[in-house]
Amino acid sequence: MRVTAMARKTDQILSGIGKISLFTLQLFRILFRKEVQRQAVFKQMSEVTLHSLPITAVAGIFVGGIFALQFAAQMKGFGADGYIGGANTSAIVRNVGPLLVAFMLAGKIGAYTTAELGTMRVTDQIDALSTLGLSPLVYLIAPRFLAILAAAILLLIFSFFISTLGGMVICHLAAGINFYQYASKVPEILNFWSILNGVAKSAVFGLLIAAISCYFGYTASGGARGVGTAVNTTAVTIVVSLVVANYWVTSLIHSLAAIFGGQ
Amino acid sequence: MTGITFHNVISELGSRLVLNELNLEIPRGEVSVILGRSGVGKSVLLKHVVGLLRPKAGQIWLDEWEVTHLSEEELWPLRRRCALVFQHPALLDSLTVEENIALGLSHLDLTPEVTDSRIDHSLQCVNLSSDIRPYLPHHLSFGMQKRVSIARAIALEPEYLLYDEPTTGLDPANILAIDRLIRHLSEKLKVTSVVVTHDIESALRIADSIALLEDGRVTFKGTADEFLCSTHPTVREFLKDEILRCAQDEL
Repeated sequence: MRVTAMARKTDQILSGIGKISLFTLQLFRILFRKEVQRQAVFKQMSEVTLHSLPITAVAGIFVGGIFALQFAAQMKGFGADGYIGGANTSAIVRNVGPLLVAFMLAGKIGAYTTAELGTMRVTDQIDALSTLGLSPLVYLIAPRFLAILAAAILLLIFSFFISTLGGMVICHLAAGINFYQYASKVPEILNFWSILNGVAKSAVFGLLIAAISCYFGYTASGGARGVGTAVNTTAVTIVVSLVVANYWVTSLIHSLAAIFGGQ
Repeated sequence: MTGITFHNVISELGSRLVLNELNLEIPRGEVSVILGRSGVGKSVLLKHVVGLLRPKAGQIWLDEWEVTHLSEEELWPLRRRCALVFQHPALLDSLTVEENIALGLSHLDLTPEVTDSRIDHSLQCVNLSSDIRPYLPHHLSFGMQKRVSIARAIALEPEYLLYDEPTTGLDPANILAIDRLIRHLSEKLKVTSVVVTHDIESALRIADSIALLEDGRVTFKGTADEFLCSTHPTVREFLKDEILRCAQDEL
């Protein structure tokens, strides 16, 4: 009995991954055919970016601050004060920054998009577009997808800078490490592979947030309850997929670094 | 073959059989009402006509077009000829009344002047002033939103207008106004109207012909008078239930 239930669940998960992948491919095909109106993309992008910028800044500063405090507490004991800035910046750019900020964007952008599209679906707004001879994927979904993807990447990269700044300020205030001391070892520790790691993760996380939130919103059904379920599914799916993707991207970059002699 | 024809249509929603070998012919130029209790598949029937849902088996014809096997792209020109007015007003929340009505016109290569006059004309047809053009849907009452959704449909100048529960959620005065509007549009614009409802009073006011849907099939088809005089047990039962419901509503 349990085996059957597990098999069914596995089947559901795999078919879900397949459906989201096909949906994403369909959106990329629309984007490559340049069927989407630029104006709609910019409008969506400015809305998403502006709404998420303050919260990203606040989260970024404190993500940087938390890790600066941790590194300061540990490394000061070994007299490695000079390496705190470098270690903190590398950790933020490589792992912690993208992941924590992506979690927050999953709630802010992902849940909002699913709720908006889901409501449009259950109130027949999406079907109405079809009956007017417009493709909902071209008119409604693809601009949102591209806007969320671009906005999430920009916001994640912005969060690197703001986290580094936060770490620097909090290290100075709480651990008495001056800005020069903090920044001196950053170029040494933060190498090409660290930056590639951060940028690659931003792109992958942005893609996951955009694809999953658009998919569950577009396929929502069953009235208000259905929209609630879709939002919940989006939040859970994005968070789980971010953690899994974080591992795989890290692993891939490490392998590439090993091949090309980096670290 | 003109009009809308359902031939042995079987449709399922999940595991539930909704339409069970349904056969129905809706002639051109009439106001045809499809009656039935909630959940018998009336809305499903309409969505099949414009290809929003696909049947499991059977054929659906719209004039010379066999809808069932058309691709999404092939359905677009057909949907301009056959407009659907949804149960919810289904106006896009972020667009103004004007932008909502212009949505369907955006790919017709019309000049801005023609688009403008079509918007005005369609608002006029549903007894709404052009002053509401810059308003967002949430600035309007539910009844006005329903009218705007009808205006959006008729702006396409369709040959068929399908209404899904057009009077649901409206007060008696607005129900009467929408009923008059459906009748008026049918006579003035010469469109074939198909109205899906469970409201018997409304049906009797507007129908040239009535079909009763029960258990996924059409159990009765005839004029309004024939419907009222029918001795068919399903019709009698439906009428009895509806009269009781109306009496309860009035009480």
